[in-house]
Amino acid sequence: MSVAVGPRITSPNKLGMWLFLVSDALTFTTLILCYAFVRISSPAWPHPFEFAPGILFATLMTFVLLTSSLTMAAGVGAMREGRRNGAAAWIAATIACGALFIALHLTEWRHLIAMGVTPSANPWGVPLFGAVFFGLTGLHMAHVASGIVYLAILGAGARSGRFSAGDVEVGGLYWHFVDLVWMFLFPLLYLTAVKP
Amino acid sequence: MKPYFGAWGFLLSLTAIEVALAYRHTPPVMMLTVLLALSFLKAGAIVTRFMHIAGEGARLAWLVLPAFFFIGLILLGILGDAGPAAYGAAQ
Repeated sequence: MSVAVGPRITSPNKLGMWLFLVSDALTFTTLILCYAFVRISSPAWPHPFEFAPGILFATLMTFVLLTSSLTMAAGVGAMREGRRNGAAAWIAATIACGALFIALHLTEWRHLIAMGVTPSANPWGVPLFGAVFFGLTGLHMAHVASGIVYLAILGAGARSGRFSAGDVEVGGLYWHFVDLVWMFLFPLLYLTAVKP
Repeated sequence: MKPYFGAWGFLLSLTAIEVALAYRHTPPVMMLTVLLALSFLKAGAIVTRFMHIAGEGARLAWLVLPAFFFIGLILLGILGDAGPAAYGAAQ
């Protein structure tokens, strides 16, 4: 039984998620500002990303992540209509998109590592490039990876009846946020460092 | 599902514009301005279309947005020190 204690902003679960997302957004914003500082201060920031694989992969990753937001929204919609199996299937599709994103990203990372880029050194003599690139994309990838675990638990629970439509919606908020962060990382890290 | 497809198509077309822009010889400051504007537009589309912030009422927005005002203050505080001179000092 729930007791109404004054007007609520939103459900407690959803409020908790929004507050977490605000703090997480501040983390990413601070890191992006550090990147801006370093980049403005560096006389010759490297432009290593060729069309293939760099930009092509990053564009594909953007497509995959945007599509995953669509499948997640479909999952929340199905859950609201009481279609538990449908919701679980859409969440599984979202997980597949997330996994594909990570696979593409790791391929891209391996390509850069093969070129000699590490978090502390690279062939262009701007060590901070690697620190910024792996730091920002690594933190984002960790968010995608934990999102996959979260969605796997959520999908199984949605199917079994342990989780409600509201719970799935809260998971959706997290996933859309991870998508949102990439909307800044893709242009700022890749598109402003295209090989001329 | 229809509004979601609309948002998805909108976000994809903005992405296409961004990639096309990167391959036109645009002056860096101009390009950064346009890319950032498009990024904020995309973030806005995700927050309103997928995360339904408008449906949560104004109080949630008031809870979320002020934090970014303070981030703006930090930005004003540090970026004045950025520039080639800062890099030289770090050497």
